[in-house]
Amino acid sequence: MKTSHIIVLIVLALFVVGLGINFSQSASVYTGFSDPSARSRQVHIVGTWVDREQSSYDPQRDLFQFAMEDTLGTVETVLYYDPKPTNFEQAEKIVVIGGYEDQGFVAEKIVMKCPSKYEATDITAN
Amino acid sequence: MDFLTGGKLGELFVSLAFASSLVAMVSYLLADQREGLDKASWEKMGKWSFLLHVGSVLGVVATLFGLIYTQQYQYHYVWSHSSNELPVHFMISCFWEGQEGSFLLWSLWHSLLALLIVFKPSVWRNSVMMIISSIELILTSMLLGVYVGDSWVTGIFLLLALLPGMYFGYQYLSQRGQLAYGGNFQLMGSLLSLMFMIGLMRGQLGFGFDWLPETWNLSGITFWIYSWAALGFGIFFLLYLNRQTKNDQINAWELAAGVALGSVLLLSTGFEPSFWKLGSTPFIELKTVFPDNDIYQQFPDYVPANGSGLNPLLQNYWMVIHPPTLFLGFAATLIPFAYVMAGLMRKDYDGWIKPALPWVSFSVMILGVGIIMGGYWAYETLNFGGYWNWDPVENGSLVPWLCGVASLHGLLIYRRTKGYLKLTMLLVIGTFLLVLYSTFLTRSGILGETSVHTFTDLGLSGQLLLLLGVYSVFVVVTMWTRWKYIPTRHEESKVWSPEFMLFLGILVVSFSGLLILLATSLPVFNAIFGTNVATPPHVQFFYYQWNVWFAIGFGVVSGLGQFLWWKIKTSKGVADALFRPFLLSVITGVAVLATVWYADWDFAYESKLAEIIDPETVGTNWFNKAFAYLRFGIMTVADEMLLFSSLFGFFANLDVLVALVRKNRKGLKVMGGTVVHIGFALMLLGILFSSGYDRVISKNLRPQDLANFPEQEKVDNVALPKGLPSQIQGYNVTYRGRKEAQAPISDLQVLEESPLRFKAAFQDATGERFAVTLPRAPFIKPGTVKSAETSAHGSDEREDGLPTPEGDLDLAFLEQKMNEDIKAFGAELINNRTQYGLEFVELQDSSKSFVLWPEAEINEEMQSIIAHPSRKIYWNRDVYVFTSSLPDPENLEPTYHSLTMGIGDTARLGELKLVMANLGNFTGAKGMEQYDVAAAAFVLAIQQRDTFMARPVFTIQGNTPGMLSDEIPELGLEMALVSIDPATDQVALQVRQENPKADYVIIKAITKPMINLLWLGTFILTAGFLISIYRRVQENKRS
Repeated sequence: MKTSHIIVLIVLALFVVGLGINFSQSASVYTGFSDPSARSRQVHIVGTWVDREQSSYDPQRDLFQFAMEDTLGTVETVLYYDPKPTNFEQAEKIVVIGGYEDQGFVAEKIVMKCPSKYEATDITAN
Repeated sequence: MDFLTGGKLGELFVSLAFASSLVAMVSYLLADQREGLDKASWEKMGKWSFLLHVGSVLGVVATLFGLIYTQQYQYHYVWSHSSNELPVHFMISCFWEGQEGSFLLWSLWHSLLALLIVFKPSVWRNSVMMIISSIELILTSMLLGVYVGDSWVTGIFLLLALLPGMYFGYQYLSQRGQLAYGGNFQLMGSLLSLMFMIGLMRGQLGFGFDWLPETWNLSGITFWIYSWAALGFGIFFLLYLNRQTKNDQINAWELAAGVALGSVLLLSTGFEPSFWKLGSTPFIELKTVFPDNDIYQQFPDYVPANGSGLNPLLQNYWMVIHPPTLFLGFAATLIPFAYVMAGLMRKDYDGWIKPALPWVSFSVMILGVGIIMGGYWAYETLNFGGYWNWDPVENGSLVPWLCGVASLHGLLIYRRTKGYLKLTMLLVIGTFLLVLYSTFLTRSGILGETSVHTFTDLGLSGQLLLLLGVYSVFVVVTMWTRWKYIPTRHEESKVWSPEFMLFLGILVVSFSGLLILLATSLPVFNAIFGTNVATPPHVQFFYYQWNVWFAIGFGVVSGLGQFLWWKIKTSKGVADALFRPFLLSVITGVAVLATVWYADWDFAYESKLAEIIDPETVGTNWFNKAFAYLRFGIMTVADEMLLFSSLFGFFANLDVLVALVRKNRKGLKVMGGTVVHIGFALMLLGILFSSGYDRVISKNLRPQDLANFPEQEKVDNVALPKGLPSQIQGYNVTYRGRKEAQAPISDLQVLEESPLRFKAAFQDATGERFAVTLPRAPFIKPGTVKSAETSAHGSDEREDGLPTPEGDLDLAFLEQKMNEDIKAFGAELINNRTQYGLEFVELQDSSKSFVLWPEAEINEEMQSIIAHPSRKIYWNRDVYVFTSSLPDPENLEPTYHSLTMGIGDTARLGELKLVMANLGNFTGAKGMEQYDVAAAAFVLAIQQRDTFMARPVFTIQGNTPGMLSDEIPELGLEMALVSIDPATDQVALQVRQENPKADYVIIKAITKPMINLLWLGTFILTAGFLISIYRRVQENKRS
């Protein structure tokens, strides 16, 4: 066995074990609001924006609140400590990444799936 | 000659490019296998067909650009990626907004790079060109856009049926020694196949022959004839190619080529219109894409007047050069790959290293520059606040780069010690396969929710997967069969040796790449195993906690490695020589840490680190606890370790550089690697500070507002009402209003004209370009009016009747009017941009101030707002500002009220109270002499404690009533007295109300310390690569 082989094996072992632990602890899953794991860890929730006129942004607290319905049909108020993301209205689907805290479901990040230009589905006469 | 216009011409070029790459591949393969005259003849054939390929690819590019330039919106690609407003330099960007265009760009780079090989005589040329042509074959097939076969299954069955037939036919004929040789015949056969391919490929259904007369249209049995003719031709061609092979030997390469040729021909004919689409052509017409659109039912020849435009994010100068640079880097990885594969096929296991080495350096350099350009573009244009977001698309270019870096080090080790050859080969091959893999990731749509900017699936994912699969299998099989013949060095390297340090460097880089690869591939694992795992919620921290260790490793290993490599030592040995850089890095590191501590900067991931040992998540299990504290401990010192190790890498390499230059004049030539390492160490320092110690400075600093908030509610964005200064960290910032054009203007040009209106662009006094859309009628030059006379130059020329705006525009008159009152024209920045003026005054020294203009772009087509940041660049930091929220444009529109009031009446407009105090007769009063009647209303406007008065006047002159309105700017009010009823003293008031509070912006401001080190490091790194490429090319020339 060469030294280099030993080192590779050690690094590989550390890498695999580390990655395994890292993922078992911090990797998130795609789930819904009703999932109890959203109470203890950060999750990804896919859904749509509902009750649009109910949403609000408070510039003093820098807090944007909106209602979101996940793919399982549960509706929940999502708190986002940042202004409303641009293009939020156009998103067909949103993914919130966050978890439950004392105030409610707090999103750390919002990812929007907007109808892309590449998917232009029809032409309009002009 | 319909088939020679526009799209048809383009399709012809695509087919030619496809067919010629096929001929080139087969010819170069045979040239490699054969000897003597035969070889020379095939070589010639390969060269000319590859040149034809390059020409055709250039033809495709030129045709597509021509269509975009001449605004041929009947083509889907042009319509979806371009528009009338697009300036010429951004038309180039249309090439990489669409998938087809980006394949084209990739193919173009391959072709151009390969020219350097085609013309250079070398024993490697034929086999290397064979591999390159095969990749080109597949890339150009992505552009074909033809429909073949009725399903995959049929295609596969036919292939299977084909194989034994070909095999037995080959056996039979080769044993009989039939098919005589003739060089011209060879040439003719290849050309025939070329012609045939082009014919078959054309038309939407793969057999269209659009330019043939109707009656010739191929259908039913005719197809079959063509299909089998194609099949027969494939078999014939195969047999012909094998004619000279000795009877008892089957040449596997030639068999494979024959099968490929026959099957491509067969598949290209098809039997049923259209189930399997091969490639996606950029020349497809709009009406083919939307056949059911009503407009085509009514007007079959409808051509849209304008395209749907280029994504505004791509309308940036970096986006003109970043994608081609990145693709050049991708394309350049093909060449070392082709060399390795050629080496394996030719059983020459190390001869490829010499010619491949400069290519590896080149690809790593270009790819690195391309990646950084992308980061700089993101930093400058996007508003996520950084240059790197760990987005799969970004990772997809980083992983091949890391693998390329590793392979470069492998090559260097082999050159010096003849060790680690297998590893090096795997790394070179891996680099190219990773490029293919990342193409698959970003183009197949598999990334779904994890990425915001990938292409959507054009139906090419199957083809991409096939490409990846075929090449992976090809590589694995070739490596497998040759593995035991690849020379291995049996002697063990010492731990304290340069090659061992390089090996460690390879480990560091490859494991970093492996980690990023695995994490980016999560959606692929989810798709394969049906799992549901998402990326870690805090992606930045996830990648940080892994990559920081690789970065630390880089600093240490590169420092030690360079010392050992160049054998730099004092009389007491290497360790003694290392003491100086070590001491320097410790002193500098401690000084930096003290500064950071004194300035009280928080490390970006401090809260994330605290979460590791958060009792709630750790629980009570002693093992978990111990592990959590261990992890917390080592992660807490990681950033300090990175600081020390990067500094060590920097100083050690600097030492080496000085020593090299001192030693001899040759030092200048060999210093490339050292310079690269210095640059990379600087980049790491820049990244550490700008991303690790960046701070949001737009904190709301009024504590009374924050008192009631729970602690975790951070307020990172401040609302700035127009004109009102707000204090943020280090600055007083005031929103001064949106940018408006300033007179005098220059460079006035007409962009677009329609019968009634025109759009003109001009440059204002500050050098910004604005655009304005105006009716034509008032700006027609007198004397050029064609029908009913109309002119703005005086009423004497005007006659009754509708003004018809025919005639030439009088730009000089327009310019004069604009200079008189520019505001009246409502000019907007070109491209729908709005700039928001933010005045920053430093708190410590109020004489130091600057204005930043972050932009927001309102794209009506996409109905979206895109914010672009603006920066103040200091030597040691950037202040980075963007608008994170803007008022609803509707609120900025004034509201109008019509009121009827008597004396003493009150009206409420929201918070505002209007009181009609009195009426006054102003007839004959000072300033009103010219009116026959003048009456004024005295209106009080009361808002909270403030009271203002307005005095609108109603006039009559002869028979004409008139109005003199009055304003209260503080309240945004303008009032006009429309009429007075003398009998009741009731007045009609017209009130225009603007909400002065409606104009505000919400901004986020971030400081990024030492970000200039990152850009400086990039320049040094690139310079280092250039030096080393120059040296390698010189070396190769000499030998």
